Amino acid sequence: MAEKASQDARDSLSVPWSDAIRFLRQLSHDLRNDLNAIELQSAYIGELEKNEEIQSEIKRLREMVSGMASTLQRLSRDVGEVKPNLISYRATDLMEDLRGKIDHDFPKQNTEITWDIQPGNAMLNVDPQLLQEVFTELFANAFRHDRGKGPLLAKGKIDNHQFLFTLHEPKDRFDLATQNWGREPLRKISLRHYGLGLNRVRGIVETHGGKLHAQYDPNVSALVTTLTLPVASEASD
Amino acid sequence: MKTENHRVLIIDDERPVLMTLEALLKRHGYQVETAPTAAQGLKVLKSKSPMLVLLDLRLPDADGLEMLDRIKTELPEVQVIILTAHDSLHNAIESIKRGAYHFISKPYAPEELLSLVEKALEKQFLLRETEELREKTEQLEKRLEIAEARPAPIFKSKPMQEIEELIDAMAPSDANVLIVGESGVGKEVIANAIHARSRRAGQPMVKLNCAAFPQTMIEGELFGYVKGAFTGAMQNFPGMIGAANGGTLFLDEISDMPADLQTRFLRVLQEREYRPLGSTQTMKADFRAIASTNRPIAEALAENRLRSDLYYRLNTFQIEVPALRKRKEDIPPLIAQFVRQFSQQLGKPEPEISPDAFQKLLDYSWPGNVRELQNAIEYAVVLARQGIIGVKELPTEIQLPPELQQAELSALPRSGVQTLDEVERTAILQALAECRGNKKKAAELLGIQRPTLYNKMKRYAIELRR
Repeated sequence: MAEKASQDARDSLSVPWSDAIRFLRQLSHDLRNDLNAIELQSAYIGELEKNEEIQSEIKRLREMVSGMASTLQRLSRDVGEVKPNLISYRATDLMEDLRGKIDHDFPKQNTEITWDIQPGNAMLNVDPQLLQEVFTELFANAFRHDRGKGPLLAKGKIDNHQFLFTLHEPKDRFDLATQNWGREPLRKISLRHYGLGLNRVRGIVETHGGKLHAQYDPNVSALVTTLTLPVASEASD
Repeated sequence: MKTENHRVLIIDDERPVLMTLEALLKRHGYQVETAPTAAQGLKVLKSKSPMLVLLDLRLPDADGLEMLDRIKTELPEVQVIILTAHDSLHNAIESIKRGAYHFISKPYAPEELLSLVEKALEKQFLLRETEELREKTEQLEKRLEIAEARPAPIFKSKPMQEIEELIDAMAPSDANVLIVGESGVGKEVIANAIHARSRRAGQPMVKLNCAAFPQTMIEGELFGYVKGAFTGAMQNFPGMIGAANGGTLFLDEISDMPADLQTRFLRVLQEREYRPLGSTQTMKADFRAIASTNRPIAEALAENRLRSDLYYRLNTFQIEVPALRKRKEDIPPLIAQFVRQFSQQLGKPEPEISPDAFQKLLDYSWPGNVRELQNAIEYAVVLARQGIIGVKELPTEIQLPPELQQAELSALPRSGVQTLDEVERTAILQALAECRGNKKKAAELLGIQRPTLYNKMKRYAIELRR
């Protein structure tokens, strides 16, 4: 009984999201520092060691430590402030980069995507590196969660002075509410998954003056994610 | 730190990375070059000489670490920051072990990247500055070494004290100086002293011995030439006037310079401009001229060896360095200086000079002046045994009694009619000198008996004081 009361009391604590971020970033920073020190120390020991088997084990250990440091780095990045470095960029180039990136990052699944990209000569004012992160995250989620049968459909076009990108993901069922899509961090946490990706995606899109939303269409059994970005100019050929 | 002159090369195959990085760095004032492949990156590296390279570890045509090795081998002074998408600390640390300045994981934070770029360039700037300072220090050390090896002028005697006063008075000006004096009196040493006490002391002093070069070569040596100006001009040569820019040009034995070249040099002195051989470009001439000659000026002018207009231009100040025999007070400090110099060079303790040997050095007439004294001391220091320079360690000429020394013999009258007695006395002195004072050999040389030689020596009051 007392245990439940204590749990209730903890749950009723309200911690501002900014404080949680500060805590996460500080913890991540401190742990990365320690991991870097461990990595360096391991590298030194590896150089002292003559036995090849031990050397190979130390190398494996170093790679594990590196992996942990990378995870923390990504965590810091995901909760960090988004500061886009905006440049003029052709929408076609953005999509071409995206297809190259998807081919590279998802070599086994890339054939499961149907592309329909018609952005014309529209110029965007964007940070293409950050937007590549956005698209990659959307595709990674689509491949990772509740895949239904059929291909993913990626469409891109200019609509009403906006670059409109939609991703249709076949899903037999979808239980999550989509009203606050990307505004509910930590909603889905699992092994090596911290529920921060969509929140960052939304943050990046909004710093570009764009919008992100999603809707499940039970008629076609598909989750449709829509991303809009303002067009800087629509020069003709 | 200003960034306008800092060229950065980004080598990355990902267009978004390349373009955003380019925009970011340009926005902060850097000159940016980009290359999507290792091969193109190497081309830009060679043609644009960037100070910093941002290098992706994953390139389509090369391994990033191998590319790093290549950059550090071919252009070790270029700083490299590794861009890694692998999130692999292992590779990043390996890249630092191979000479990279730092690494940054993609996607990078712009502030972090800019800070790294600035620090890398600052390091590059400091390295370059250190290298320049090291070169300058080496040059200064060499010049100091040369200066220390040079004999310092001795201003003990009255005439030399007067010369020193004159040097102190006129050295700071840019006035031309003509130094005259017998061969070996130390005209170059005086020229060195003028340069060292002038406002140009920090700049080079360039020397051209007009007697040491074939006349056809002096022009090229003095004015310089451009490649192809004449057969054998394989590359540009700045010439002595160019090399002396900001400093002093010392023309030794000016009266041995060809007459037409004297005219050209006079024009340089007047107009402060010159043109290297084969060049169409007129260059500024900024040097102080010091010239010297061992010929009596009147004689050189009369024989047209020295053009009078050049003489008057050079002769703003004239320093006549007296022969060593006319300033014997300078001999002891010169001896001390040379003993010290050669002992150091030979790595042996400074020997003492026996009183007899010292007297011989003082008595000798030094026809070769300070240079001869210097050579004599070098000879003696080499031969010195048990820390002593005795008479035996001196060159033979100096060991001879003064009346048998070549300088004295050459001073005997050579013109006009001599009496038979004078002729006989001279012949006896010459025979004795040739036989180094050995009377038996001298008698044989003269074709007389030894007792006869003794009688004649007595008659002509020839005494050998050995």
